[in-house]
Amino acid sequence: MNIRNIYPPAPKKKIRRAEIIRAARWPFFLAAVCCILLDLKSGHLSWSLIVAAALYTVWTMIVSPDLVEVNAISIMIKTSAWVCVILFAIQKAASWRGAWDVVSIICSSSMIVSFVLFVSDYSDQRHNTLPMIVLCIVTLSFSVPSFIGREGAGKWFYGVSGIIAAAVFIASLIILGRSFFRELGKRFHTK
Amino acid sequence: MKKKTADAFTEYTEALPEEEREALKEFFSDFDLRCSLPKSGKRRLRKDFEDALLFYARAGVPFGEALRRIRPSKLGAFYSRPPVLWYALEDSAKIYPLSMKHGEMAVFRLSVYLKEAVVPELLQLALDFVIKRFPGFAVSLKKGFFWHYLDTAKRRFAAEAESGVPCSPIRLSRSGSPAFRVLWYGKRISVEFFHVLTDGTGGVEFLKALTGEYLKLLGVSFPTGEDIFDVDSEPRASEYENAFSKVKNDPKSSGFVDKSATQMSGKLSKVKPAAVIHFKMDADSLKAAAKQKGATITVYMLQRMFLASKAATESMDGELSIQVPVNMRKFYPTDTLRNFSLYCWVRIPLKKIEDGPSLIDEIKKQLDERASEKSMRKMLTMAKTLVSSVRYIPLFIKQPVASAIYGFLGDKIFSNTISNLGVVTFPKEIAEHVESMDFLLGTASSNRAECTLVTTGGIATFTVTKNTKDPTFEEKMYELLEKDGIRIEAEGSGYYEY
Repeated sequence: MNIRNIYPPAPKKKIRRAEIIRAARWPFFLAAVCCILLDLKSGHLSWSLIVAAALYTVWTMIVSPDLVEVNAISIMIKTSAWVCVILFAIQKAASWRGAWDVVSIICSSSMIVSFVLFVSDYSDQRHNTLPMIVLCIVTLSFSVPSFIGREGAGKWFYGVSGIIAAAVFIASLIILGRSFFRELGKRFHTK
Repeated sequence: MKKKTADAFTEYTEALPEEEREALKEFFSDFDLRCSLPKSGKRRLRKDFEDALLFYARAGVPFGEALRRIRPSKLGAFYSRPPVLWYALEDSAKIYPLSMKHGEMAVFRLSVYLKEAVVPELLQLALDFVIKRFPGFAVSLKKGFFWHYLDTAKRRFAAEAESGVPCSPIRLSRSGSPAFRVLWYGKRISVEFFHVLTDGTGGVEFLKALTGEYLKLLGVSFPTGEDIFDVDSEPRASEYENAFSKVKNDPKSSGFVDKSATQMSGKLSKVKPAAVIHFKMDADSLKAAAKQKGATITVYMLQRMFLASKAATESMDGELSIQVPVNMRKFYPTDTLRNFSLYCWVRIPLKKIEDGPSLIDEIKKQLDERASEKSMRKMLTMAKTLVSSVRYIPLFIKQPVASAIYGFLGDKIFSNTISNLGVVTFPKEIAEHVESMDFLLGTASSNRAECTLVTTGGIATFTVTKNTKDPTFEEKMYELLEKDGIRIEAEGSGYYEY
């Protein structure tokens, strides 16, 4: 059987992401399991939480990123969210109270950067605003009670992050207008 | 290169007589009115017109005629209106984004082979004009809280020179990324679709419309109607309906699951597909060979595939199972261009696979039973029930679970697939320029081969998408078909790996 070649030669890819994922899957998993086991042996889960959160962050952000909707805003928000998770783990492991203050700073910066990305590329980014809006709502919901309940200098971190969250939320709502509700309809459809 | 083209266009306009230059100015003012894309998109779309005008000038098409063929009114209002439409995925399409992985995506490809080399400038413009008629394809896949959905993406969709492996995954991650790609190579125009957009039927309509528009730009005129979409007409809502929801549920439902089938031997390739092979056959000889065995073309091809698959496996026992997609439109007529197909399978123990009438009878019997309206309705009911039972589970929970289940089951219950698109007809004015078509499936994860059949212009093209280097299956198929007096012209790609 003679086969006439009617296809162009395909450029050879040296390394494919699928192969990296296949190769990295077990080392990542084993590293996390080993940390947890060692930690359990020492009597309590502490630093293994940090390692597990960090490994998962590297996995989802670098090794095996999402296949759908990887845009500037979602990357920004996702990175911030995972950093916050790691900080939460640090707080748990090292009883570092200051971690929450850093979380509020990260959320505020993330909201500002996302908002700038949104307004600077409105036509492309208007369909990508939901993660930013969710972050605003989450930030508001932890900033307000923290601001009321907390004493001392750290209190103002929450005040500022709450104000930024409210401002970004309202500004986005005004800019998006009716599209905001259309966006909600799409994002939360169950059809 | 870009600057060179821009300069060429400036030179071209400067060389025009004053009257034509004025007409051109008016032409682009009309274009400006019809395009509200962001700056870069607008620039690219405008350049498509410039490139087409340059081509016409080179080809000696009179200026007035060139302007008439590519008049900006053909863009319609697609590029001037903001994107507001969105589409929930139909029941059978929901699995595709849930199960896709890096390097693995349910992509299929339809190609048309013309008698002359493709003019890329005109193909691009044809795509710019055609997309307005297929708003459901001008979309980008998005993540909702419960399900994925398709969000309208107003952009200039590109027709590119073919360079990579056929059916390679489509990059969906960027803002507004399309879920299909249009490619050209030599005399071939191909469209690769992520299955989330449409099935073979919808894909064929799009490719026919694109080919028609391309030929129209080359000066071919033809009537629009039954055989081809009028790209200047308004899209109908019924073309984007979820046809699954219109079918009444059956009191009983039947599953998608069966025991694992025997796979053909051969190491799975890292690059998928490893190769593509087309058998171009005379449709009448194929029909005659099938008739001689008292079978339809699908049954005949299935019988040959069972024999070839048996030859291609080292297993002595077990069962071979061949998946047969079923177009649900034949039971429930609909205009929908979206997915409306399910599948059944024919399963035969290896020991019973012998060349002879009994194999034909067994395939016929199973196919009549499993591809019947009753069976398909049961499966459809199952699909709808499954979807409905998990609809309120957030996507971030559903996705890993679905991915794990799909990864575990995958296509292991099948050994092979045969998707027969049937006869594709074009208006005779277009048919004169079309040589043949082919259809490629690129979705297998453990199957060593997947096959398709499509007929146009008296040529039936049987395509084998290979996932292994082992050539036994296609060699045996070739031998079996030739033995039945079918003359085959074998074409394909080389092996993409090793």
